[in-house]
Amino acid sequence: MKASQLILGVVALAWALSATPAQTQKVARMPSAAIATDRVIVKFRDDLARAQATKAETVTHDRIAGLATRTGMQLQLARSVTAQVHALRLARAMGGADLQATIARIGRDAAVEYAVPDQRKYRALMPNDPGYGTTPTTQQWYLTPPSSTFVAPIDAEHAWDITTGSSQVVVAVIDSGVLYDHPDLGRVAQGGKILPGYDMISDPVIANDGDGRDADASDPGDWVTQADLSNATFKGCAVSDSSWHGTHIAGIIGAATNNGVGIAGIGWRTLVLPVRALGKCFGYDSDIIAGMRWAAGLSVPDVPVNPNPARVLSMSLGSQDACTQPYADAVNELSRSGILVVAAAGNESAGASDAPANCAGVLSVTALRHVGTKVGFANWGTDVAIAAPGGNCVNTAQGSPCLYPIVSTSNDGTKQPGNMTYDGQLGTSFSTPMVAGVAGLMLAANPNISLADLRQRLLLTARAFPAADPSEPTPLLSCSDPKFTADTAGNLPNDGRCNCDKTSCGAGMLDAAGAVRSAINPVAVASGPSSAGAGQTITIDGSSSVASPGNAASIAYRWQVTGDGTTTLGATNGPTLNLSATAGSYNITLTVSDASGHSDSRTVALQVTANTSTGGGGGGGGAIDAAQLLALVALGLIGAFRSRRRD
Amino acid sequence: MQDRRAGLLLTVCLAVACAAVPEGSARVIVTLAPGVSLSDRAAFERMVLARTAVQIGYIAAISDRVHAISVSCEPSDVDCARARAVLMASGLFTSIDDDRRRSRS
Repeated sequence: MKASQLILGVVALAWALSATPAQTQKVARMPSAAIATDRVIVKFRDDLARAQATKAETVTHDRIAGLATRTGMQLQLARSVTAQVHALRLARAMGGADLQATIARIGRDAAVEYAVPDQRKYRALMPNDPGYGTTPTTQQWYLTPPSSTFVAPIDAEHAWDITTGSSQVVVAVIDSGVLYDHPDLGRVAQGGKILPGYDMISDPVIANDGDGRDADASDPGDWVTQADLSNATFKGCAVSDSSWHGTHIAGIIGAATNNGVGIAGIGWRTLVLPVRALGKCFGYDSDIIAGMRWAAGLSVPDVPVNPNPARVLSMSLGSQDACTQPYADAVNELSRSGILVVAAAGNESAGASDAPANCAGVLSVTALRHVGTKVGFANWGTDVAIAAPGGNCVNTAQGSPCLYPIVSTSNDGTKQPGNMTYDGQLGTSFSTPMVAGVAGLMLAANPNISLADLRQRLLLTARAFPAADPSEPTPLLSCSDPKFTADTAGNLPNDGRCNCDKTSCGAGMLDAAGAVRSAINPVAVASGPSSAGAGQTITIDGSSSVASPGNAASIAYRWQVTGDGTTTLGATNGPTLNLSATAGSYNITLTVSDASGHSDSRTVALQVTANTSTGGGGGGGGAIDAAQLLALVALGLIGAFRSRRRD
Repeated sequence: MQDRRAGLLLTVCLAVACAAVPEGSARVIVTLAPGVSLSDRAAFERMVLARTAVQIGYIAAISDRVHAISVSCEPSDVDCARARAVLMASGLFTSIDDDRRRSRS
C-alpha cells in the first residue's frame, strides 16, 4: 500500500518558546511600486547624426527641453546614465495613478524610447526570526533566494521587498484546525494572525472534540490508538500520534514574522482562516466541501455566514480518485466568486494528482527536493500546475535527522496539545501553502487582480526546472520519460525521484518574487533557439508576454540585441523578433511596457556559429544559401524602412 | 535510497481513499431535485423511506440544495448500488455521489 502521508517530526526546535510571548517589533515598511518618486528615467531614441554634429551636453539639454515643451511638464536633468539614458527630475514627487499618467505621457513622446519611474531600491528584506535561514535541518531554507545549493526555494525575500502582505487578505486553511495559542500564530483579536474560523466536522467521533460542527476551529489532536481501530469509523486507518497538520500549514502561510521568535510566514500581514474538516485520520468530502463554501463566504445551512471570506483556499488533503461532481460544482462556484483554490497533488508516487487537486480550476501543487528535482513521494502528471519545495531527507541513515524538511509551527503533544514547538515535515501538503501564501502576497500587492490573472501569473513567473541534479549517483530520468514507471513490485526508478518538466510537474518552480512583481507589472516572456547558424533567420517569440493586470490593451514590445557580431533585425516593436546574424554571441532582450508605467525585461542568449557546409545539414564556411540570402534581404529592407520611419 | 526510504520509515498514516464506511451504511452527497425541500429533516427521512423503502439518515448540509446523508445498505457494493439506484429513480435527487474520505497530504 502506498503511503498517503509523510509526517516527519525531525526537529523539535526550542527557539525562544519557553514562556515568553513573542515581542513584536515594528515591521519595516518597504516601498511598493506605487510609492512616490520625483524622478523618471528616460531613454531617448538614437539620433546619431545630430549627436555627431553637436556636443553631447547640448544634445541632452535640447532633448530634455524639447520633451518638457512637448509634454508641458517641468523636467530637469538629475543625472545622465548614458548618452541616451537620463534620470529626469519632475516638478514634484508623485505616485500611483499620477505617476503612471506622467510616465505614460512621457513615454508616448516620439523622441522617447521608454520612460520608467526612478525609484529607490533596498536590499532584500530579511526577517529577524531565528528560524529563517539556510541551515537545512532547522531553518526555512525553502523561503530564501535560490542558490547553487538550494535550487528550489521560492525567494520570499525579494517578494517582501514589494509587499509583506495585507491584513485585508485572508487565506483559508482547510485542514485539521489550528493551535491558536502557538506564540507564532495567535488570535487576531489578541494581535495574532489567526481568524476565528469554523469546525466543519459533522461526526463527533472524527472531530474528537465531543460534538459536531461548531465555531471552534482549534485542533484538539487527531491521534488514533489501537483501540480506535476497533471502531468501524476508523477501519482502514493506522495508529498515529496527533499531526498538528493544520498548525504546520498555517505557520507556512502566516506565522508572525520579524518578531524575533520562531519562524517567518510568507505573509507577514496575511490573516489565516482555519476551517477544520480533517479529524482523526481523515475527513469526509461533505465536510470539506462545506468548509470550502464557508471559507469563501458562501452560505452553508445551520452555520453562521463567515464574516471574513478568504480570497485563497489552501487544501493539503486528498486521495487517489477522480474529481467528483460535488467538488467540481464547489470549485466552479468559488471560481465565479474570484477565489483561488490550491490543493496538494498527493504523496502516493503516482502519475496523477489526487482529488480534489485534479478538479478543473484547482491549482495542483507537487513537491520538489531542495535541488529542484521531484521528491520521491510526490505525485506528478499533466494535471499538476506548479511545483514548490516539499522537503526531502537526502543522505540520511535510519534514525538520523532529515536534512531538508519543511520547518514550521507545531506541537510536541502526541495526543492532546503539549508544548508549542517547531518541527520539520515532508509532503505536498507543505508545498501547497507556499503557493497559497504567495497568492496572498499577490493579492496584497494588487487587490483588484482577477482570478484568471492571479492563476496565469503564478504559473507564468515560475522558474524553469533545473536540467539535472549532479549529486545523483545515477542520472535521474525525466518524470515524463516513458521509462519512469513502476516495476512489477511497484517501485519507481530512483525511488520516485525524477527530473521535472512542464508536462510532469507543472509550469515550473514557484517564484514568490516574480509572482508578486507580476501582480503589478507586465511580464516579459521570450523564447527561441539558443543556437543558430550564421545568416539563418530565426524568430524569438515574445507573444506569451502579458501586460500588467487591467492594461492588456496598452502592451508594447521593444527588442534590443547586443553581441559581438552583426545582426539584421526585423521589426523591433512587435511580439516576435525575426533576425539573422553573423557568427558570435548575442543577448536578445525583450522589454514589455504598458500604461501602468511599469515594464519587465527578459533576455535570451543566442550563439551563432559560422556555417561549415552548405545545404540542409547546416552551416558551410559562412556561405549563405539562396533562402537565407532572400531572408536577409527582406529583413534588411524591413530594418531600413523602420530606421527611416523613426528618423 | 533517499527520500522514499526516509519517508516510509516514518510513515504514520496510510491511504484511506474511498475506504470503508461504517458497516451497514454508505455516506453519499445528494443534490435535491427542484421543488424538493429538506427543511424538516425527520419528515424528509420518513418521506424517502415511504417512497423508496430505503432508510436514509441526515448527516450535514453543504449548501441549500446539496446535503450529506447515510444510506442503509448491506456492506456490499451490490446492495449499496441498488439502494442508490432506487433513490435516484425516486425523482427526489438530481445527483448522488460518494461522500469519500480524504486524508492529509
